[in-house]
Amino acid sequence: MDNFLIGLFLATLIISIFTARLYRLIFWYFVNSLMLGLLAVFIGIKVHDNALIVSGAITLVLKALIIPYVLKYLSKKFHLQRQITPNIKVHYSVILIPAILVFTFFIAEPISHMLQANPNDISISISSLFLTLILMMEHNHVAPKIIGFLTLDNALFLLGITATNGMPMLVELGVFFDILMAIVIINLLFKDTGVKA
Amino acid sequence: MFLFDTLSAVFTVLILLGIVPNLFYAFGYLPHIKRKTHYLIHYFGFILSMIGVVISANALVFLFFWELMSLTSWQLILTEPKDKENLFAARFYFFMTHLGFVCLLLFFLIISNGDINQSFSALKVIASHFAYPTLLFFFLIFGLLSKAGAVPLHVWLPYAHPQAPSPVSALMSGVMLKIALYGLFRFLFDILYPWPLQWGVVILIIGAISSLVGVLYALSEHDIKALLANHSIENIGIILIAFGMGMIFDTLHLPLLSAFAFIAALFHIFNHMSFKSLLFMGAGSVLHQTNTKNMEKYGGLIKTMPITAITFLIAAISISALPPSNGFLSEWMIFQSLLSSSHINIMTLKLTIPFAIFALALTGGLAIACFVKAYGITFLGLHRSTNAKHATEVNSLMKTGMILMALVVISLMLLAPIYIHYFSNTLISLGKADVYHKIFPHGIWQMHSVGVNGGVVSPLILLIALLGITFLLIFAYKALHVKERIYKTWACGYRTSSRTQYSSTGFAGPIRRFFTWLYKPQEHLNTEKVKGHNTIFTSSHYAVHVKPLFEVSLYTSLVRLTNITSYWVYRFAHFEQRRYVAIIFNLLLMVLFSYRIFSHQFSWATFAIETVVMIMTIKILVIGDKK
Amino acid sequence: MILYLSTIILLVVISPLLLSFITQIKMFITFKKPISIFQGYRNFSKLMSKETIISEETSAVTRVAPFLILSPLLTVLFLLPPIVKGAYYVSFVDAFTITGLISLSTFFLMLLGLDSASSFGGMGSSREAFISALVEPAMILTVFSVSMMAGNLGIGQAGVNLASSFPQKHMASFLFSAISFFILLIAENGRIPVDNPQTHLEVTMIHEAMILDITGVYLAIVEMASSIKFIIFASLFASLFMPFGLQFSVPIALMIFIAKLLIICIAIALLEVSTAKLRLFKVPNLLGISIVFAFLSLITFYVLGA
Repeated sequence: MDNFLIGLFLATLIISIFTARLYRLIFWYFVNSLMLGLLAVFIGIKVHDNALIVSGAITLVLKALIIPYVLKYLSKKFHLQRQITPNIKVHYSVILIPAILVFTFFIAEPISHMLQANPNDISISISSLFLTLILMMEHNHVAPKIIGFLTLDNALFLLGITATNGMPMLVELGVFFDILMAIVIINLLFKDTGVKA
Repeated sequence: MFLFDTLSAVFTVLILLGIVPNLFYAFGYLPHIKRKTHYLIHYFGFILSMIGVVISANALVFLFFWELMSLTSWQLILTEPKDKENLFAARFYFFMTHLGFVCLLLFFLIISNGDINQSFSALKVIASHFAYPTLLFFFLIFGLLSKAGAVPLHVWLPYAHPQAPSPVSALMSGVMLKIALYGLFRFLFDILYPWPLQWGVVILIIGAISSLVGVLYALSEHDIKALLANHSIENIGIILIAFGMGMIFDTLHLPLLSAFAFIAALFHIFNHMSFKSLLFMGAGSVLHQTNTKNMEKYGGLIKTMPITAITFLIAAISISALPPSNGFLSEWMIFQSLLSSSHINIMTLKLTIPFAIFALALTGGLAIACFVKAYGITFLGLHRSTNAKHATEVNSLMKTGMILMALVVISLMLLAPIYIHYFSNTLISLGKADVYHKIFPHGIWQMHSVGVNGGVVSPLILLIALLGITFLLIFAYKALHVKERIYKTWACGYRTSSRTQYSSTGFAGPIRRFFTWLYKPQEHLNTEKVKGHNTIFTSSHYAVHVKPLFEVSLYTSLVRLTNITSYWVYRFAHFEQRRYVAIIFNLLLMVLFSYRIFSHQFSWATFAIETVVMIMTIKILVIGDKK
Repeated sequence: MILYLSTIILLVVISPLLLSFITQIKMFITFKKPISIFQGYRNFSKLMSKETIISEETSAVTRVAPFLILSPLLTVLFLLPPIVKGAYYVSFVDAFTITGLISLSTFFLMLLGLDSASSFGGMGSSREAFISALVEPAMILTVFSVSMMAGNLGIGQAGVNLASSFPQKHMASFLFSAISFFILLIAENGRIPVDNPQTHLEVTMIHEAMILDITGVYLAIVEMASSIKFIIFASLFASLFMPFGLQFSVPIALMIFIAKLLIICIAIALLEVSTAKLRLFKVPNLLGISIVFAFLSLITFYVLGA
């Protein structure tokens, strides 16, 4: 089951790299966060870790519901440009993404030996880090960049779950708090770009 | 506060030998100088500061006199501030010497825990507890060699030395550079004593490169004093080769060879002091009489300035390392110490020492070519300008100075055993082996190398043989009563005039052409062509300039590098956030890469692939396309 | 001691013969009527009987230089490896000293060229300076590496050691230095690929250009110096790179030595007939080969011990 969720996580991430619409991108972020939250809850139940269940629940509430809603609300409010064409053309991305995946499997091999977790999961989480960075790179607009940043946080959380069965609760809460702050700043940023656009 | 041990004594003797003839010369030169008080104050300050450096007993006094030496010599360069070149040279010298000073200061601050008022012996204790002695070593050699003018810190030297008045050039080139080497002796022996092998190799390589670079740029010069200044770089290189060999042998626990190499270094220090001072004095006399530094304007001066010509010839033979001169003896010792390393089984040395031998051999050959040029163009043939035609012999004080210095040169040749005995005693007091009796086992006639199956040279016998045979030949010639006739130069029937002679540019032409890849000369040929003809012209002017490679490549490119860096810093700071993301991407990659390479398993294939990927990602993502 | 002095006198006496011999072979191969082998002596006696004309532009250098050109070379003759067994020899003098003495002679030759204020003299000196600047390092490296192979830095002892026990394991370095030294032999003595001693053409001459303005006894001395220089190089080559024949009795050893010299002469003559003179700026390529081989020889000796 957790393999399935991780696979979906990666799939949504890859799709979001190809996405050229803002609302669609927010939607994929929502799915991505949903998968992550479910995964956290799932693993938390499996290993009987209440902290992980709690942070999974917070993820579901915050990342999968509130943040996408706020993003959509803000972009509507500020009339953001909804057409977001990636800078990296699709036929390059088609080569680039598998290359990154394969390559990550190659370089993450020693690390996955080091941990007792499933090596595939770790490789996937590291490659999702790279992919989110690609997502941030391929857009000029600020909104998809922010979504990329949020996805980066998802990927990090995934890495935490897969590699060490969850970060300490305190760290996780700190990260959530940071993200909330980020949303506040994003509000200001949107205001700024919204005037321009 | 002051300390006068054997090492100080050696260098004090060196300074005195350099100064006494120079005093005569300097006072002979005095009428030529306008700001006499300024000149004299700084001249004597300079001399005192040099003596102060070698007898100082703690870092504070040392640094004080060192700085005083820099400042007075800087003011002496500015004795006649007539043109931009002079100001440029002085400023360049000022900056370089203070860069060195900062390094020395750092060195002392580290090894004294901030209290630089301690004696050198106290510093040794602190230095031995410092975790990174190589850092200290590099501070030290950077500080000292920037003064001594070793590559790559030599660039100021060909500018600064020619700009000073000639007696000062002689002092700077002959004596001041050696004071920097005194620092090397003092601090490497007293403070940083147990040397790793690499230090010696570093010094050896710096020496080999300096000697080649110096002589190559000397050949392309046609300013006589700049030529001599470039030769100082070469000779400092030769001394450093010997010094490096001494350090290497010492590390390998070969005390005899080590002492031999250090004696060679000291001997060459003395030799270079003597002949370089003499050459600068000769050049100064020529300059004084002809009012030009350009060698193309000299010629035929041997007829009107015989004393200058003869002393210059002695020095030229000595600096070219031709037997049986003193320069030959010290270079012979250096060769022997290099060659006695053939049985050492360390790969680094097996590669660097043949290179040093090669550099030293090539240096010798090129030095001969260079001094044939300097001597032949300056003193032989016909005068090339009216200035040279009306030149007369210099005044008696200057003549005395030159003759005294020539006597020093000759004494170093004839009394080599005594000097070597003295150097040997000095090294014994510094804790090195006694090799005097190994060098001269059977009296003073034969000099032996201390290496296994080393060579032997007998300078005095050689001298006697050469002089004897020459006098026999001359005697036979006189006995033949050959009829002599004095007539015009034949030259295949062409008319001979001062303009048909070979110029110094022309003389060095073939060599310059051979080393084009190094010199990258800028040639300018202007001809006034007769209308309609490509080959017939009324007048033509040819000039060639050689810009030192090191200056261009190292110093100018440093400036360019700073510009480029600041541009990129600007770009990173002010362009799209995308680049930041890309940098994070690359950092992440790098972490994973380095983990794989360093902690997991190393294979060259992985390394190659990863390097390629890194370069690609950096190129594509970080740098992007230029706007 | 008598044997020692007589071999030196022998070398001085036969030195002009060798140069004439080379010319003879060359003329023979090109179907000309060969000159007499004693042509060298004839030239010498002719020049000795002439008056000396000295240019009015010259200084004291011209009056002293010819003697100073000859005397270092004569000194070198005393320091060569022995050619027969039992003769006294100076065992200890090393490559740097011998090269230095030869350079001393060249130094004064170049000054002589510059002294007469003729454009030819300067040209010759400039070219000679160029060539000898490259020859000297190669020679130092070559002879040092051979003498290190022989186990003694002194050239005299090295020659004897090589003849008595040839260093088989250093064959590679030995070969490299032999090649290098043969090129030096050609270059330093102004033989054809580098210089053509027969012509007086502005574009080609090096040695001849320097001595264009001296005549009579001075010229005789300088010519003698150049033939002695040739025999120094030839006998160094014979002793160091053809190290055999020393163990026989005196007459046979002497015969073998002269045969070796003749072989060198024939090799040079054949080379001169079959190649053209190189352009001056191509000469460094040849000398570069020589330096590279010398360096190779030294570094193979050092690194590989081969």
